[in-house]
Amino acid sequence: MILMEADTLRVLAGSAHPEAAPWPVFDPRVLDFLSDLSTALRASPLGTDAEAVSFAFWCRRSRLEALKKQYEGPIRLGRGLLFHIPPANVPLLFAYSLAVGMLAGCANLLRMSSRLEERGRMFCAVLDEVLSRPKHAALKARTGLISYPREEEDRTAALLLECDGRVVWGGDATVEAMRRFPARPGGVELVFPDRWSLCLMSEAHVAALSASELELLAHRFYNDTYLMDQNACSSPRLVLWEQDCPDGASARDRFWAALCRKAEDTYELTPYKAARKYEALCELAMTEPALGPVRREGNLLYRVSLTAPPADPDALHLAFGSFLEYEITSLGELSAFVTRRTQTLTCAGIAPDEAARTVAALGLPGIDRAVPVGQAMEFDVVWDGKDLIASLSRVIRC
Amino acid sequence: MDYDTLLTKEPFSLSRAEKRTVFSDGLTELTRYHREHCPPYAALLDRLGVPDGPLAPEDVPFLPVSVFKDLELKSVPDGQVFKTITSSGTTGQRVSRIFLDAGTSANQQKTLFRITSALVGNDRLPMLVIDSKKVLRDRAMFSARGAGILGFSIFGSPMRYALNNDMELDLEAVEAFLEQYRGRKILLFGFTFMIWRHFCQALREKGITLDFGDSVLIHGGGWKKLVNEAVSPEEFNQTLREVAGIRQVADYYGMAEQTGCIYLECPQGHLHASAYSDVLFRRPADHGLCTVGEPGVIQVLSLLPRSYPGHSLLTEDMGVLLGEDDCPCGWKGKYFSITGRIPKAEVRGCSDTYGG
Repeated sequence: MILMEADTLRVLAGSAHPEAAPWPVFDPRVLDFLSDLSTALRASPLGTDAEAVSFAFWCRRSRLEALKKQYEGPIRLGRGLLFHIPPANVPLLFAYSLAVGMLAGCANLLRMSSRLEERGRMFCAVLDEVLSRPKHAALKARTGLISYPREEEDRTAALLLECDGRVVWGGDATVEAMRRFPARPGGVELVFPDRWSLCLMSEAHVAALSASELELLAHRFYNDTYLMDQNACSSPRLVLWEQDCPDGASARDRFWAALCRKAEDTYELTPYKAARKYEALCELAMTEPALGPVRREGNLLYRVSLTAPPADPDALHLAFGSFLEYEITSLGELSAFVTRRTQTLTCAGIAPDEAARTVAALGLPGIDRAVPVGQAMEFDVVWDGKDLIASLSRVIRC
Repeated sequence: MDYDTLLTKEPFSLSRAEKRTVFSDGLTELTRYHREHCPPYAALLDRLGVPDGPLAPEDVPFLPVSVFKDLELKSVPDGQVFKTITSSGTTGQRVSRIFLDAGTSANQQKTLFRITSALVGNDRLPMLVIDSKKVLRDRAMFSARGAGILGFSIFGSPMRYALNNDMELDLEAVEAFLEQYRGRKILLFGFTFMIWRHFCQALREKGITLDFGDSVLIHGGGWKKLVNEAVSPEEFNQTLREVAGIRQVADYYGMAEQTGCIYLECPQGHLHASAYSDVLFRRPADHGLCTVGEPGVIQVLSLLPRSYPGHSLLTEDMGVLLGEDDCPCGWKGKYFSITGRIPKAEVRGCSDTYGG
């Protein structure tokens, strides 16, 4: 590993040469560590950061103990050493990727983006402090968060050949780039290509909400969308309205007005985002045949009506608070909108489990999760339809 | 007023009221024309709810300049496309493609001539291009740099090039040129970055000073590439005076998407809209109009483009309106300065992170 000695390598936390020995899934040493990390995060300056707090909450002991129960039974052991490529612009997703690798009993090497934001750096500092406590020495020896210039492809290639698996976030471009590097013959691969998401809302439900309930729904919808620049795989870009009340139009207007108020208070639409947002709107309006009128609230909220299901639902690229909308009369109409790239269905006024059963009954190629509005960004150990713990561990039959 | 008639007006002669009338009529007509001849443009206007009636200049819908990178937009049949201009995007970036018919192409030349003559007069001058002749040779990719040189070549007789094929200063050729035309007014032209790198710095490194005498240097292409070297316009002009004795230096602002309609820098150091085009400054939050002195996104309006729907474009540049009709230089029209590109901001999202 001569390459590792070059000075372009930065170790942000842990060790640059993680030990690869497999541990059992949900090993007590891992649970202890994540529990300590959860506590340390809340006590750190990140204790006021919403995303860091979400992660701390996610890896609190009681939650992990409950999760552990789901994997009881067969003897499960980690695959060995994993190489993770987390995305640069989903804050702290790397932390979830790392935690899942640990829970699966694997050793973990994460290639962090050189564009890591301030919050990410602070997180790494806390992580390194907790890892460096004597009682976590064994885990520290099998964990590394490193960064180096992406041009150093020889380094990436060498590292990948030493790993038993790779976890590649970052969409099609990253998946394609990483697939050019060979893997060990028995290596596992978890990849997360580009996905998009939609929302299903009942007009009657929205019409019946009290003012404060409406604000809450708008707040939750905001967190699923604007909070991530509406650029995350799980951020809905299309809202399908279930046409189930006499005055659907005013129910829809009511919702969008509430969302617009929320965005006005909270969203920072920089000139760059505004430019990309308007560009995407214009390109779609010039090329998509199934588009109806566009309604704009300044540049904060664009509503784009569909006149029919689009020929290619994957091509509807919009972001930063631009929403396509279409009215349906039955859940069966979902099939015209769902492709293998459709990831999350968020629901308001429709039970997510009912929606999920409909997806199964219709035999749709996409939709891997149905959740209430507000939970689109919640990380789950089952992601993109794959059980990450199961994929990253092996079962010893006896 | 048709465009030919407008071109007979002096380039910096229209006052606010006259210009507003000309532009309301002209932009309304052009918007309708492109709506009838460019289906994607019509689709956009229909969906944005743009009415078919008369439009005030500020109500004319604007295309983001970046759409020409993704879509082929033209308002003439393919057979009438006379040439295609591509923007000089930096390496790896997508380039714009602008489709010209004979009429629009000719009007670009005429317009550039009319605007620039305000600075250099109507006579052809001995002209030194601070570039290499080879940029013209690659006709497969008709670059904006090549287009700029060809465009300004109408002012030059004869025309010489200061750089050889390796982009090195050809001192022998430059000195011969100076010797031959000593005593005459000389025009120099080039791209800001090329002039700085291959002319100013090259002369400095060689420790040579030249004297171009009665001379005017026109440069464009922007300051983007010079930002890293922290060169201010003042330093740029000062250096040209020191190393080459160049008396007058004028920047211009322009883009491949509205070739011909340049915004020329006056002797006061302000960029000016000519009678043939106009600028508006918009707030990013709602695209509302900025007040004088308030920085905003630059929208360019031109009565020139007929072969493609480029008469109203929202650029990726930020600028600030300084005033209208009252610049001390005496030129009428809006005058302004550029504050830079829209700053690239980190955007969240799951995709495309390998770049890090």
